Amino acid sequence: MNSVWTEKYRPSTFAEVIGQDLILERVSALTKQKNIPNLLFAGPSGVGKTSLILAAAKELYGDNWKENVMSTNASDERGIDHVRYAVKDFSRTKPIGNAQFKLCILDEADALTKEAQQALRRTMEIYSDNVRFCLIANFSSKIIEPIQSRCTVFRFKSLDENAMAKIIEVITQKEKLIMDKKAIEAIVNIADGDVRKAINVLQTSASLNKKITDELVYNIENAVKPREIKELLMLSLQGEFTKSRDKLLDSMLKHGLSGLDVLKQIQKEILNLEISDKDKAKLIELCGEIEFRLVEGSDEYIQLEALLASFCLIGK
Amino acid sequence: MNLIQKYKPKTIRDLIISKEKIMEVKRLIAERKPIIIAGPTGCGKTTLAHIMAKDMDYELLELNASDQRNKANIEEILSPAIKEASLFAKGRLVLIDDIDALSGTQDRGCIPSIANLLENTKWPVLLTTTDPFSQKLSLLRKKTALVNLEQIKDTILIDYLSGICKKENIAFDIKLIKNLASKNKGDIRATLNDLQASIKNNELISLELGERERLSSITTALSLIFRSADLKKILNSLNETDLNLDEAMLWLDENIPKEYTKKDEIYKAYSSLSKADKFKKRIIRRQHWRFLVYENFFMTVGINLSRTSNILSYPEYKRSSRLLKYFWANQKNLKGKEIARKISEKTHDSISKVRKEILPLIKIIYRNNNEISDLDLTQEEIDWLKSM
Repeated sequence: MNSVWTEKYRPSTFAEVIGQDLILERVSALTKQKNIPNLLFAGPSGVGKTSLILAAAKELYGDNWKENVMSTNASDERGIDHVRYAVKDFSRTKPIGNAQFKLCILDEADALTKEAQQALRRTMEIYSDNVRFCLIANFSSKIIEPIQSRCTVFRFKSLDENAMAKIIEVITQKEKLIMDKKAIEAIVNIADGDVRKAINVLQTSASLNKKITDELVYNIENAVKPREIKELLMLSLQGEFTKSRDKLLDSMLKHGLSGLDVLKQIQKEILNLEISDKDKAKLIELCGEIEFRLVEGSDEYIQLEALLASFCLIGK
Repeated sequence: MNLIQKYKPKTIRDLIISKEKIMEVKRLIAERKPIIIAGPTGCGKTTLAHIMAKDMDYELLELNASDQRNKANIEEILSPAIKEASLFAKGRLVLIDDIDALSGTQDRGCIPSIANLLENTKWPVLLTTTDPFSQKLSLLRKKTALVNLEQIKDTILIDYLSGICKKENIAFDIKLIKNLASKNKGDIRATLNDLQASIKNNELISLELGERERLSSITTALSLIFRSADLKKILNSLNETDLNLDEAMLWLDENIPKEYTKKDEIYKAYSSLSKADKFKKRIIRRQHWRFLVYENFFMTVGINLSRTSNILSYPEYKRSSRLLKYFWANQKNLKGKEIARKISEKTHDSISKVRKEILPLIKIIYRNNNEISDLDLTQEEIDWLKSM
């Protein structure tokens, strides 16, 4: 294999985009007029937000699109300095060639701190002649009001199963893979509306075997799913506090998980447990309190230990 | 004679830093690449820089924390030097020492002007820091190579100290040397200071080593918290130690499950500790220091009241190894992070998302002897993926 398929099969024209019909229509109309407003794309991951704006960029600027486009991932560069220097430097220079304006794509913009967003707001105003912004976020509520009011907001929905299956079939043909209906269903099922995940799982499966079965797909899914969280949850419910706290630290370190990552998974796993609904409700209530403390910035490990200790008490 | 001065390394051979790291720094300097040298206090960062300059015949231009460092200052001192050739030596080596000691308020504007300097200079630049991952340095990290000096190993320190004692004709008991080495956690400067203080009439004597005393005071505090029935004593227990509350919290966190065995006791103790932690964060958020009273209360009396059964066992209290484990894990994950960075450049995803969602799948691809050629992974990185 010579490239990552999520990139290889990223649509490069509007015609290749599958799904998001209504938004696609609006954005392609705006692009044809060569005058897009500042944009805010909100929606879950893997539904085509980045793909759509990249397709728009290629439409706007043609082959040399990279000259007039800056694309950064805000969750890697979330500080105010990035907005002050990199984004501002990009914004203050004139567009190259015949372009009317440059395009600045801020992916995962909901990870920008409030201060960085404030700085961005000024930049958006001052250089509005030179540059248009496209902010991409999972939750529009994490973008401050003044920025939202300067943007046209598009809300993306998860892709439905038909669109997802269509994308998989296109790749299957081009890569000369053999897949039956059940295997496609399996990928659609575990991807749960996230095209990125679907294509990644597909590529991994194909690296093992050109003939892909549903069994292979589920095996891969199982191999990458961290089991530790479920295990430590079970240990705590069995009253094995010390073992479950040790496992907690191990898995946080091994997979680089944050306290919130762990808590999210614990909370999801609780729903699958075979315990009474009353107990589930109790456990989830405890999760809520601890999540609140984590968001306030407390020591992740101590708070999760307190959670596990309280689970020990509720379990048998 | 001051041992630190007398045994200050003069050539590369005198250094007790790993030879590989030295060669790496030398190579990077030769390539004119700016370098961040990171490592714990007293591991030889600055010394390494001085020796390198001497060894490679560069004139050293040093700016350290004692100089007033602000934007104008840095530019004033460094800019001319950067452009002009050196009069005597082959070239110049710029050393900006303790870069993380730049203060946010007084040294404002330094980091960007240093970043600017890195771009414009033709001379090699060395930056030293104890914390290469500090937020402050994010701007510089991208433009520099990072060389991480590890904490000097006890065994190496012990050899080094015994060598000095022999040269100085000092009679010594190897146990004392071992104590000196382990107490200072790889800090050569501190160890030599202690050694100097322990010499009496050409013989090494035992100083009342601080660490041991400290341990006993922690143990006393912990047993007061866990076992006493005297409210006042419990409340004051942590004041008697020289531990700050953050450290004390780590000690309690580590030892609660050793002290308490019943589920409801563990539960109560941890919910007290987590309340204390909550108040700790409230202090920081609201700058309301009276919350300290409550933090201390939950850490002491709150935990004390968890006991419901009789005291049966007397466990040995241990220091928490959690922070050390964080550090190790970080080191281990560096390669994964670098691979994730390469993938993220291709896929427009954030590094953290790649690490969580894509890397596990990429590992499967590589483990089965397939590869994705345009990721440009090094052989080392491929081996890492295969070994996971």
